[in-house]
Amino acid sequence: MYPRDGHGTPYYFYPGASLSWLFSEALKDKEGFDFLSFGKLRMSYAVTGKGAESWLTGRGNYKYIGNYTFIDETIARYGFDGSQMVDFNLKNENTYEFELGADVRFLDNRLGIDVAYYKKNSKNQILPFSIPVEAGMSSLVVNSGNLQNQGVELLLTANPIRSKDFNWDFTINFTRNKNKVISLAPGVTGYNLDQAFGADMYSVAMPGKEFGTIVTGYAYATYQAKDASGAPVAHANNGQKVLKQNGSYFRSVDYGQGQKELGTMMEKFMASTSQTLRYKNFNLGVQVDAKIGGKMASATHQYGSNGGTLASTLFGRSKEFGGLTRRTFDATGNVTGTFDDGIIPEGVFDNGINIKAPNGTTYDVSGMSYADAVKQGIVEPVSARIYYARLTQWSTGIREYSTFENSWVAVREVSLGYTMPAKTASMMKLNSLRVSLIGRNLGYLYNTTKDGINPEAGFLSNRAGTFAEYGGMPYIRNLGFKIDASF
Amino acid sequence: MKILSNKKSLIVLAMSGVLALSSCGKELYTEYNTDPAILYGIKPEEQFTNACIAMFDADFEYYYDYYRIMMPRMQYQTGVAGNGKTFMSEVGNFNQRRNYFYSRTGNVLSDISYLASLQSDPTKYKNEIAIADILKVYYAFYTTEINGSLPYKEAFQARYNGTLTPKYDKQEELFNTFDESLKADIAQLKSGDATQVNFGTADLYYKGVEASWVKAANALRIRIAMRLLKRNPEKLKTIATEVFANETDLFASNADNPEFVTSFQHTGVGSNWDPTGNGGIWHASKAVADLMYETNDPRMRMIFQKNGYSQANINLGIAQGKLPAGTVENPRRYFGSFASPDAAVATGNVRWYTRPQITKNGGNYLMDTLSQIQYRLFCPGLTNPEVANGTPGTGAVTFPMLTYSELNFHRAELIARGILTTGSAETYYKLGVVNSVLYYSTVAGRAAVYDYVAADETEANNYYENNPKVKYNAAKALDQIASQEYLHYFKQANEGWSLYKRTGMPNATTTLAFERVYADGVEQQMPRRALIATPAITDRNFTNAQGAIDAMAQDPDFGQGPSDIFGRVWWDKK
Repeated sequence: MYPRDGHGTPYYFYPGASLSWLFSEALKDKEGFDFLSFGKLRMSYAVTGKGAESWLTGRGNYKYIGNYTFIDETIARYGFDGSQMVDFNLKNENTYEFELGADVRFLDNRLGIDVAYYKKNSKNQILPFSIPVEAGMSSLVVNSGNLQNQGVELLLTANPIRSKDFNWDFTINFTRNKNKVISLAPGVTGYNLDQAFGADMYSVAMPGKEFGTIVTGYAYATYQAKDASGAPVAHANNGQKVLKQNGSYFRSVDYGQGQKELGTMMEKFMASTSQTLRYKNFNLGVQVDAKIGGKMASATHQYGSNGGTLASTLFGRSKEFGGLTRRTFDATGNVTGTFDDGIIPEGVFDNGINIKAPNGTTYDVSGMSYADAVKQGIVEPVSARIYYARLTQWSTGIREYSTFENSWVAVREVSLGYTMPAKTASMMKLNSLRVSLIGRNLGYLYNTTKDGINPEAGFLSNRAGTFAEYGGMPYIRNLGFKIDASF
Repeated sequence: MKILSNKKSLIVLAMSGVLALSSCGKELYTEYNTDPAILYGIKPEEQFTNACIAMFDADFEYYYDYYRIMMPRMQYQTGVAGNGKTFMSEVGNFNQRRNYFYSRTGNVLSDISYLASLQSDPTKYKNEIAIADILKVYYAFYTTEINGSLPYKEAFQARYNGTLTPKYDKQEELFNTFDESLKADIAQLKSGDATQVNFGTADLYYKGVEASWVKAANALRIRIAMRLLKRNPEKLKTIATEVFANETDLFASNADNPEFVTSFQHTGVGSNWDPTGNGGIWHASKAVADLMYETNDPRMRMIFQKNGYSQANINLGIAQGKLPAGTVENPRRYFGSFASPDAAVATGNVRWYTRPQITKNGGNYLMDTLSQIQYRLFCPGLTNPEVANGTPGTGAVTFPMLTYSELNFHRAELIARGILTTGSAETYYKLGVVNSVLYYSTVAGRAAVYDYVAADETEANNYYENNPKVKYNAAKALDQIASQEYLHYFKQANEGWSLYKRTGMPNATTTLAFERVYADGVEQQMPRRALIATPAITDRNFTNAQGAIDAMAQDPDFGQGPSDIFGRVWWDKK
């Protein structure tokens, strides 16, 4: 509903249906099907509708901004209510969800497979799309085209051993989900899902690109040699990271290379297994979860590197940690100090850079790697503190440095329990008594994040495209002792 | 039949019942969905006040563009220990104006004509629309000057259901559009139409006085035309001849200057506006301090502070064992810092940057050998650290836009170059110099800079007459004009930079002698434009934006790609 003239749709309709067939009933007495203990096929289809958030349709007007203190008076300041405008003919969102699944159990329910395929298409989603600032606004809320979300879920349950003294149950769960932008609104080329480091990085949804591709202008710039007329030419160092005269990295946006795609934040698949073993009165349960593929950015890594609080920043601090000899000179080339905290930045100097060496000669180091320049005595290694600061501080930091693959295998829970014999329990006037030791979030068997940054918690937002760990509380390992008693 | 028709009416009745019910629900629903703070229109005057503030509301622009990039590059100031080796090529966060033009100023100014169209008699708002247009041209010119092609004619239409992908106008077209618009605005404001409404006090610069806006528009026409010196001197001549033919429509004193004078709270202490925020210290440059000291320039005390070596401080230093006994004050208390990174670290020069720490007024005080700038010119709310129990300042901050001096310097230059054939270069040059002194006296007085002593006309005249380096010398006319114009732009570093790009002055051999800038033995060049951002991949105007860059790159002077800040945009011809 739009304010002022009151046009719009106050209601909408959405249907849904589901169907299931217990085919094991039909096959119950058929010969050769006795291994089947349960079998069900299910299918469902539903449409879910959603309207615009409240007050949204009134955007793009004016408001009282605040009081402004002028020389001798206070002025009430009025102006635009913001820079977002809203399509005047929004329709409600509709989500079309289709699911096909099968639940089959065999051998007296000791082996079961549940397979599901789902496909969800969100059409006419009400989303704000960026518009070029030159048009005078920052975003336009319209009905978007078609976002698709499809995947498979597989659940295997088994009970391989079942005896009086020994029982083993397990489940394996596998999910693969794939989001895809089929179409956006007319004229829209991309949608920013989430951002991090202010507006330095985005995850975007664009037709033809992987959903959740992380882009940033604060990525490393890549070197390209040029001839006198500025045309690109072949060079051994093409493709290397580009350094400024002082040995700091060029950001891609400052180098005219714009935003760089660092890969998608979406995982390839997720899996988990839970194993339960019982031997006589002892129980052992283990749950392991895994996520494979997808990238994340980490503010903890960026700022921790700047502050020098991460183990990775030990490198180069002193000789013991791989620091190289670094000398300082006065204007006439006399050594004024020697340190052992040098790091050689990986990269090559930009075209047109000249450096005056301690020997007094000025060298053209265009396209030369920093390592070569050190070898030739033109420059000294960079002090470790400055190296990490330039790489990660707000004004010059390279956000790509703190963006990495986020795959992991976590030991989610291990529990060990002992059930007291019924005799012991009844002696204590109890029906049953069980003691157990439980550990949760015990650690990662495999983790690709830098400096062991927690890959699962502390994210910036709970939006669909969130990709940045932002210093929130990580998962905490906890160990517990539990007594279950029933009376 | 009868039964059927009865049934029909029954159906009609039922339907109307549903409709009535739903429309009642609709009204309530609409009300629920309406932000109570929403306004469907404001007065053009209210929006104009908003624009007057927005024109100078860019704290990041001062933090980055002025204090950290343009002022050091143009040798108005240096960092605390001189300049860093890469200061002549730093681009970090430079060019705030581009985004500001589209998101804070141009969009607001464009809205005046829309708001006027909502009024009961839109034809009465032509003067207000013309005034808004002058400001819009002012900011658009400031933006294109370092950015080249920009959307202008098709810009700002999103709000009015216009294009979301505005085409880029080439800079040459922009210059033509600006001049035509300003001419039309002047004609409108001079039409003497008594039915036109007036901004009045909503205009924070001129209180709605149309005649003043005519003068400002003429000065702006000249500023823009001066950039055509190399690219189109004929056009410059045509515009200059036309503008200077009518004295009554020209600035006649500093009272005519369009400027934003506002409370110290606008540029609050500790904010990005505050040059000393985050422990920032900015030194006077050697180039400016040396000439000002030599010529006893009254503006020196307005823009620079005395160094820390007062006899009182020296005595404290001696008593605290920080200075040798018998140290006496050097009567020269104005010294500048080296602009050249190599010079600042050269053996023998390092001592300038040593600041002994003494205890003064119960706190730590660093005795600076060099002069710091008058921070209150930018942030009048600061407290003077020299004064015991000092109190925060309450003065006003001034943002000059166009000045009487600038117009006179331009006029003198046009005569000296033979582009204007009437008038005496000396006359206008002197008016430029004297009024610059008087203007800085006013601006510094408003801000209550430390140790403020006003300069009057006598002092300004003496300064002019008694200094061979200042007094007009026909043989060095262009050099002198550029040197004085450069000094005048201390508070407008962007204009100083444009002057340099336009004339190649000041340089190492002009009256105001720039220090040659070396980093690691390599002489540094002056950047000439902003880094032009390549459009983001999600930018729906990608084709136009990339097309504009490609078109500009056709000119070999554009440089090695959009990020080459040593490349040039159209007006800045080699």
